[in-house]
Amino acid sequence: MQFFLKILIFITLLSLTVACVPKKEPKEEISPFKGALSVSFDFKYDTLPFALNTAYLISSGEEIKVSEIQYFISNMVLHKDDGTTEKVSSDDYVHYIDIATPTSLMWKLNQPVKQGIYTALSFTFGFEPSYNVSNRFANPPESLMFWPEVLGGGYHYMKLNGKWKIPGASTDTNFGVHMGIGQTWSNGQTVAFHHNQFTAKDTVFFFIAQGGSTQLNITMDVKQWFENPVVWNFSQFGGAIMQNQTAMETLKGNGWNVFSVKKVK
Amino acid sequence: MLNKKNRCRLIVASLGKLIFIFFLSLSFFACKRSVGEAKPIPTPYTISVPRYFPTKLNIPTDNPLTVEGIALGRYLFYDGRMSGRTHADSLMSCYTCHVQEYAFEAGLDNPRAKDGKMLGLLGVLTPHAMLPLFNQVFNHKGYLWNGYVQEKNLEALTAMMIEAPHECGGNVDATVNLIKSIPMYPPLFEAAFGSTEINIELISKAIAQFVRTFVSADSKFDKYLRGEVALSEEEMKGYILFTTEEGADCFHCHGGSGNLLFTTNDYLNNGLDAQIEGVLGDRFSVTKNANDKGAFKVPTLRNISYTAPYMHDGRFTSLEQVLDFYSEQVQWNATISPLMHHVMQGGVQLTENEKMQVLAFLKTLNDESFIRNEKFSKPAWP
Repeated sequence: MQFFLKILIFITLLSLTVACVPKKEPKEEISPFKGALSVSFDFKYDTLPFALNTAYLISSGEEIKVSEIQYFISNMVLHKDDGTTEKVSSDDYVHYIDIATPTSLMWKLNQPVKQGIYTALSFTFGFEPSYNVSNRFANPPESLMFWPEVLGGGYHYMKLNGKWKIPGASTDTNFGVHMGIGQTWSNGQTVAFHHNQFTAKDTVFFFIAQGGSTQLNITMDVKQWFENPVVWNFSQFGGAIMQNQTAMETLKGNGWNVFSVKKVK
Repeated sequence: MLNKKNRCRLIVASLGKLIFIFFLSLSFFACKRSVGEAKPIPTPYTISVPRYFPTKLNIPTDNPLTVEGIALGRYLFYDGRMSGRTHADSLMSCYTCHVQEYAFEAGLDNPRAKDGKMLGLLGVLTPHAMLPLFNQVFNHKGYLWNGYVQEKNLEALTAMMIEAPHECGGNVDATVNLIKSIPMYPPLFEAAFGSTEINIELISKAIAQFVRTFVSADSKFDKYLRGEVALSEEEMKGYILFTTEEGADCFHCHGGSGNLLFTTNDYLNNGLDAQIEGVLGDRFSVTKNANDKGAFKVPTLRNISYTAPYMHDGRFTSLEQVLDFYSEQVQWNATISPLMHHVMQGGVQLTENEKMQVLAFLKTLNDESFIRNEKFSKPAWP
C-alpha cells in the first residue's frame, strides 16, 4: 500500500513538473501575408543633391548654409487605390532622422507590413499631440530634441540649423529653423499653444509581397521650406523662431511641398 | 533472527546508505578542490539610473562594473603613488585635479591651480582647465575638452595621466611596478579581476569602474521635478529664461527637464573669441574638420557653482562673469555654433535682474549630497 502511495506521489510530482515547464512560444515568423518594409531618407535642393555647409540662394535673395538637419516622422500610413489604408505597427510609430548620422537614414521597420498594392504613403511631420509629450525619450539623440515645457513641451519636430546672409554682406549670422509647438503670447505670458505638425502624403506605386522586401525613399527638398507657397525671409523672421508662431505656421504651410516619396526596390 | 525478506531489506538499505555517503563525500571533495582552484567571482554592480536619465549606459562589455572593481578603483583614484613616485611632493593621482567637493573639478584654491589651469608634476601647465567628472556613464560622445579620447573610452585616461608631461610626467612601467610592490593591492586585484596580476590595463579598468559610479542626480532641481520641493519665484523665472530662445537661450546646448545631463556632450564653438585660427587643443585639432575650429566640449551645468573656473581655458572665475559673457560679450567668428542665435547682438542681452534669476536657477543644479557622498570620498587606507 505504502509502495503504491509513493508511486502515486512520484507520478503526481512528475506531472506537475512537466506541466509547469513553460511552453516554448513558436518563433514569430514573417506572416505569409506580410512583407518587410524599409525607408531610406535623403535630401535635395531643388533638382540637386543637398550638401551641408554649402551656399544656396533662396527665393528671398538671401544666402543660406545649412549645417544640421534633424527631424522626426511618425504615424506612417500606406494607402491603397480603393481608399483603404494600412498603418505600420506601433513598434514603428516614430523615426528620427539626422542628415549627419548614416544609420538614421535607413529605417528598417521592426514589423512586417500587410501585403498588397499601394498607391501612396503618408506620414506625420513631427508627432500627433497625444504622442508629443515630454520625457517620452530617455536617450540621445531623440532626447536632445526636447522642446521646453514653457513653450509647450514635447519635442522639436525639426532642427534645421545654419547661417544666412544678404548677398554681399561681409558676415553671415546664425539661424535655427526649429519647429514644434507654437504659442500665442499676451503680455509676456503664454495664452495658447498650437500644434504645428502636419501630414505629408505623396503618390507612389509600390507593392508589399508576402515574404518580400520593399524599400521606399523619402526626400526632403530643403529649398521648399523657404519658398513654396510663401517666400521665407530671414530678415523678417530672424534666426530663432521657437516663440514665433507666425514663422512656424509659414513653415507648416510650405512643408506640404517639402517631401516626396519614391520606390527604391 | 532476521528472515530472508528482512535481510534483503537490510542489505538494500545499507547499500543505499553507502552509495549516499559515497556521493556526498565525492561532492564534498569536488567542492573543496574547486575552491582551491577557482578564481574569485566579483560581485556585479548595477548603476541605479535616476528617473528620466538616459538608460543607455556607457559601460564597455570587457569592463563590467563589479563591487570589487569599484572598491579597487577607489583606492587607485586616491593613491598619489599612481605618479610612479613616492616622495611627498611627487604624489599625483586622479584626485589631485578631480576633487569631490568641487564635483570632481580641481577647484580655484587647488594648490596646483594656475591661470585657470593646473600645473603638472614637472611644472608644465595643462592645455585646458579641468572638466567636472560625473555622469560620465551617460556620456557616449568622448572625453576631454576636444574629444581626443572616444573609442578607447574612460579606460584610456589613466595611462595618459601617468605619461602626460602636464600631469604626472612619468611612465606606465614605473607606476605599475610601484603599485605591484604595495602589499594591499594584489589581493584587491584578485578580488576584482580574479588574479593577483597587476598591469596598466587592469589599473585603468578599475579606475574607470569607480568613475562610472559618479552619478549626480539629487539637486534642488531634481527634487523639484520629483515634487519634493518648490522652486522660488526667482529660480522659476530663471528656469524659464534658461529654456527660452528669447530669454537666455541656454537649453539647446545645456539641456533642461528633457535633457537632465544639462549638456549634449557635443563640441561647439560658443563665440568666446573672434580668432579661431590656431586655438590650442580645440576640436579641430582632433577631427581636422575646419568647421570644428574653436569648438570645445559643452560642459554640464550640474554642480556649476562648484566647478569654477569656467570655459576650456578657465578664463572666468565666477558665474557672474559667465553670464556677462553670454549676455553681452559673444564674439562672431566663422565657425560659431548656429545655436548662438544672438551673436549679432553680442549675446542674449539679459538685464541685471534677469542675470540674477538665471543665476538663481543655475544654483538649483548644485547637488550637495553628491559632493558629500562617502561612497566617492577618499577611502580609509587598510
